[in-house]
Amino acid sequence: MGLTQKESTPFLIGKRDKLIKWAQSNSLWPAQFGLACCAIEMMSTAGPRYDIARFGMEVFRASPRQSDVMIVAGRVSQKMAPVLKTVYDQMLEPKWVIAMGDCASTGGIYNNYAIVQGVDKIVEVDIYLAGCPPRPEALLDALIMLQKKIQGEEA
Amino acid sequence: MNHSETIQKLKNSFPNAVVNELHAFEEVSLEIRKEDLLAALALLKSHPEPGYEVLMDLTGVDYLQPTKRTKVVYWLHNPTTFQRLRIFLYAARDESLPSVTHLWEGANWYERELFDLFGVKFEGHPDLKRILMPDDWIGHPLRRDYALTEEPVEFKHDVKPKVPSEIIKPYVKSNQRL
Amino acid sequence: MSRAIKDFSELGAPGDVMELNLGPQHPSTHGVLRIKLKLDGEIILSAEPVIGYLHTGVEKECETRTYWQVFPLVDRLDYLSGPAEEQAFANAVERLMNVDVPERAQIIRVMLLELSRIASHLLWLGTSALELNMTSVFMYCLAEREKILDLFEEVSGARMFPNYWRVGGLARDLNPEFEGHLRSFIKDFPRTWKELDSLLTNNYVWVERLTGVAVIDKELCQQYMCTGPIIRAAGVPYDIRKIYPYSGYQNYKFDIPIFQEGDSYARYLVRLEEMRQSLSIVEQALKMLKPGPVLTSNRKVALPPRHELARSMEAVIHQFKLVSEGISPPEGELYVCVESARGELGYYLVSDGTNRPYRVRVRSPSFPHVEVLQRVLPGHILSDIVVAIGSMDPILGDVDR
Repeated sequence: MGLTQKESTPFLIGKRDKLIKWAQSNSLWPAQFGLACCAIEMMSTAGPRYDIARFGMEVFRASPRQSDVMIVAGRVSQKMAPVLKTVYDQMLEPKWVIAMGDCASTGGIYNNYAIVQGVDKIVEVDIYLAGCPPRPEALLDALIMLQKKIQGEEA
Repeated sequence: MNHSETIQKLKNSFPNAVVNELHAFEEVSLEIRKEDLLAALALLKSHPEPGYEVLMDLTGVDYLQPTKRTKVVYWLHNPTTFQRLRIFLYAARDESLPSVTHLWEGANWYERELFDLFGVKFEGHPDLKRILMPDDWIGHPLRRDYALTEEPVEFKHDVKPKVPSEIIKPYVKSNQRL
Repeated sequence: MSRAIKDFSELGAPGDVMELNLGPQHPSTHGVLRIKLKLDGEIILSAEPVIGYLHTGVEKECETRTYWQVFPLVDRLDYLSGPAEEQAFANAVERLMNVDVPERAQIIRVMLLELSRIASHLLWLGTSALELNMTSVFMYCLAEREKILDLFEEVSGARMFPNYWRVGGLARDLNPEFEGHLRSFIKDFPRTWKELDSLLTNNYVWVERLTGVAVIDKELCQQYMCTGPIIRAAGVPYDIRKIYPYSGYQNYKFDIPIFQEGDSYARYLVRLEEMRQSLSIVEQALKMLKPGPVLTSNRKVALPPRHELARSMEAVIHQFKLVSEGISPPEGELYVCVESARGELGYYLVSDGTNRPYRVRVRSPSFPHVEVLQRVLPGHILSDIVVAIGSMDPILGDVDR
């Protein structure tokens, strides 16, 4: 992004797409969808040691209409699947989904009648994150990867 | 009142109630006839003796041999002497049992769970409906003849898909029978 | 003493009742709990909790796995106190097979159990305060909890689910640096505890929001089989560590905090005091630690140590049979209970003599605690729901299994 700066009136000049994507990727607001054990690691990521606020994401909005990214953290059961789809539909474009943990990516260690084997059977997933539960550093890695993906997308 | 006195008092009040008596691992289990169940539980609950005032757990175990039936287990707890007693009885596939919600209000959700997962109905229950599975689910998952419904795991390079529960097969010692 | 309204005669006129759904996805971090409410203005007329949104089918899955494969499945039920679940299951299998556990293993088990109790109570306190908009308490509690998770990682490699318990002992011995880190944690924790105490216990907002909410007295506890901090806040000294001791708990000196009022503030005081008592148990355990084996030498149950495999043919055969088939307890059934951070956690294990358990039933402590909400919430106002659910401390993974 090209920057030119005059002494008296500083401006920031760049391509429109690049500026929009820069703003989007650096202030992603997650929608709270913590279901089970991975939600505890998500809370640890918001804690003081692995601070998620330095990436602009400490605002976990309760309402899906005000959020950009849905971090599905935990196992999705048969009764919860329609609720997941409803919350996903209520989010406004552009939206992204991170499947956090093994249970959200592929069903995890549970392979039975009650667990949906992977959240990608219901919604479209952008980033899959492995681990049971993934460490907070791994979640931060996934978020940085998502930021890079957004900046590389076409607007 | 220790266990043998309690069992004696129960046998004195209801002569044919106790069908079977098991002592194992320092625990006492009694099998009670279905007709005497409510009266026996009310007697065991009475204060101060025998005093088993708390129902700690209400669950079931499903069997396929010799007939298809469910064993319903009541685990009673005495809060003054800290003794515990197990009462169980068998319910066949379409049999219904009397409900104990008038004795212990908290048994409401436990009986709903038994209905949901095993298919055991309870007469006198205020609101018997599914609790853990979705409302329109067909079947009762924890019965032994309900399949686990596993999704086979696929592999690359012509390896056949495998199902996780078949990787370590069930092993029966030759001198024991299932 | 309770703040709930008891006289419903002027409420509930047909035009005034509003139905509200506190849905499964909501910003309280206690998991996916749904409550159907009927309100008149702000006063709750009826509350019906709906569960099942996290039903995992663990009990059915355990029937198709061998005994060793059940440990990681069962770990993730009560996901804040994984060690308590492992301890209960290992205890059940050990009693069924009559296997003795060496003393050093018992002492290390007690240390890890009490550390996980402190971690669970810290997270409870942090999230309860976060719901009342006290964000700095949340940060302090999480920072302290990270130190405990570091200790768990040193011991077993994983932060929350150690998978460290084996039938007959533990998987491996402690590192030499563990004791130093544990001692520095024991030295630092009382200062954090005093800080949390001074922030909350006499805080006007905290006291006003918590007193009189969701009063559960002894009668209701008996009807609804509530255990744990709830029954101790109602005045009953029921603690499984004192009554049915396991893993050497009879050798430690600790108190059980009892209060009489039974409201949310009393439960907060119980849990706060329990954290201090747990720290003193960890200190006593560290003093009692002596060198020795951590796994039983019964080769039919536990793997032989690696250096024996190069010398002895029987060790190789034992290792082969244990890994390929698994252990086979005798036929029978029994019930084992453990005091987790939430109450009485019980395992009813039925074995039929094969290498797979016939039935594993988890008597979870949070199931009746969520059930009692429908009795306790009516009469309160809408903003008391969050406080009431928070003070019950339910974990939905345990409720729904």
